[in-house]
Amino acid sequence: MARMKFLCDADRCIECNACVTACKNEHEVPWGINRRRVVTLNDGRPGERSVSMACMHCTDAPCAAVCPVNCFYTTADAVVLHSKDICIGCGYCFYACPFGAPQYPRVGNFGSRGKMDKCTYCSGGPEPDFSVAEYEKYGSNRLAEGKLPLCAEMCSTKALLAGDGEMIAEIYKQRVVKRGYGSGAWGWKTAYRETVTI
Amino acid sequence: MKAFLIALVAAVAIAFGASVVLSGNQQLAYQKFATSGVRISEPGTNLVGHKWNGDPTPADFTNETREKAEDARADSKGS
Amino acid sequence: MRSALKLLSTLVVAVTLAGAPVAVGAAFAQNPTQIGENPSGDNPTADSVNEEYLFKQDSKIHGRVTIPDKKAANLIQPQGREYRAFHEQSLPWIAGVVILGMIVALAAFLLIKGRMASPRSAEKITRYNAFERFNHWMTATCFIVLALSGLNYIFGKRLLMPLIGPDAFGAASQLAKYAHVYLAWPFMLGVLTMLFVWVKDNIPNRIDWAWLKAGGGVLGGHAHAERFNAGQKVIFWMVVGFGLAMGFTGIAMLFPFALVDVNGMQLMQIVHASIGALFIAGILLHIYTGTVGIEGSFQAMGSGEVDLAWARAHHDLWVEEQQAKAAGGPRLKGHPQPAE
Repeated sequence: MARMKFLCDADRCIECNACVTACKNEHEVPWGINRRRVVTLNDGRPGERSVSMACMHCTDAPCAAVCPVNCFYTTADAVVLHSKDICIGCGYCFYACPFGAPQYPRVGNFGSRGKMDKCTYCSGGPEPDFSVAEYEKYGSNRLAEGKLPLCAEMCSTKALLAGDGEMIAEIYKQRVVKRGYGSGAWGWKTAYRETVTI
Repeated sequence: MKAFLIALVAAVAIAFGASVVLSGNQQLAYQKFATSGVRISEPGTNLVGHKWNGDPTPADFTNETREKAEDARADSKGS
Repeated sequence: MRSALKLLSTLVVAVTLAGAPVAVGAAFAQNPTQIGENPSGDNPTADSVNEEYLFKQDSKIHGRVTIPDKKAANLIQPQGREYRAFHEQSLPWIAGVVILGMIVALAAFLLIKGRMASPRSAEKITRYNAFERFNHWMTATCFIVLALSGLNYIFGKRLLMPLIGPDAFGAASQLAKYAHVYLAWPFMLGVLTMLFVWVKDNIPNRIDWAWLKAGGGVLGGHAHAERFNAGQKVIFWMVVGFGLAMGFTGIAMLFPFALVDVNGMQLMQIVHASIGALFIAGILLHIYTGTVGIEGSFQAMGSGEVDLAWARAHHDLWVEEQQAKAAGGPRLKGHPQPAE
């Protein structure tokens, strides 16, 4: 079975935010909730780096571990999803996530922050595939149609790669060899406990 | 016994008061994290979804499948 | 001549420009992907930062984002994994050992030493007035609910969910969360009230030291005590100290990121949970001594009146004080004595 991962090639990312826009549009994500975002390091200086970051779907996900109601589950493709019906909006998953992926519809922690929302690798949630309930709660389910996440599909420079971990690592390695440099697979060490060796 | 019962009532009353005050302080993400350039409204009114018929209330939860997805599945099965 | 000069100056400028990135590249040489791979070193993208380099500068990697939610500027915070390790491995053990340990210790003490007997009498003396009792019971009942809902965050998914299933457990946890968040306010109010009403009777002094040395009379013998003995003073200061700590960390969590950033929030949660476990153990001890542990004690908070003999046995100096006050006639409230 494929082990799905994201790899953002920070040497190609131009901070166009197409990935962010694609995700927001496809899943009708409300304002204030950022499933995917672009973070720019050394902004305005030579060697400016931009990295597109969303949920990395970690191996041994810390969000799933700290959840007091165990609302997370990992699919056969190693995608980390959760159930908004069981979620109590406590906020622990945000503290545990190294990448700041969980998002909440409300700001204060009283009367519930609302149900946690995060990148689903475009594979919906526990509701039946392609149902309206699934779309309303989690967004569209592209993986069940055999498609890859829209953020990676829409990336203007093909900086953001999504797919089977080994395949995208291979693509990245080839790029690094061809151009002679590469800043590495950002977040892989923390998320998957492995780096892409070149 | 009387002191105990009044204590229970007082606890619940203060808790209820706290909930009213705190909820008044609660903010939705789309209000707190929006810049001055955006129009703040109920997000459901300006999004175009599958069942959007101009009615700002969200679609009912049914198990109806989306036509687009059905077609896609039929296509992939055929090829 | 002029064109030769122009050529020379252009060459000088070009060499300088070509040389500068080499100098810059040398500065970035600790970027591991660059060592030996890009000899001309004139590619700022190639020389730029990578994850390993940034982690040497700061424990979190953060940059700039265009969205208004500034928390999103954190790219990677590996402390999340450490928080998870403490929350899932250390914390349940700490809480379990402390709480179960206290229960076992109290049970063992009861079985071995038994209930402490107290003398009875028909005559009563007022120990706590109505307001003190009301406040105590408000605080106490809130504490019970807060303790149980708090423990649900740690142990609920391990102990309760297998019994009632995830949907019922999720709904119950939602209710527990509301109860916890809203009953915390009467609890905090109660603790502050206790502080103001009882602090003057809880200042430690020499009599407490003597009481402690005499073992509180538990192992035989008698120890003098004022209104509150040393053991009670420990409980008082525990409740006030832990209560303030729980209140502060709790409020910080109720207004997420208002005071601290994500690492601060992790710390708040860890402190809240750890102190909570210790607090529960301490209150179990308090509940024991106030009910089963010492005969005749419950009445103090129950009805407010205790047997005079009980009071003489456990708080002799307080009884003397109270009787002296009563014997001294009706106290003048707020009227100063005449000048002569």
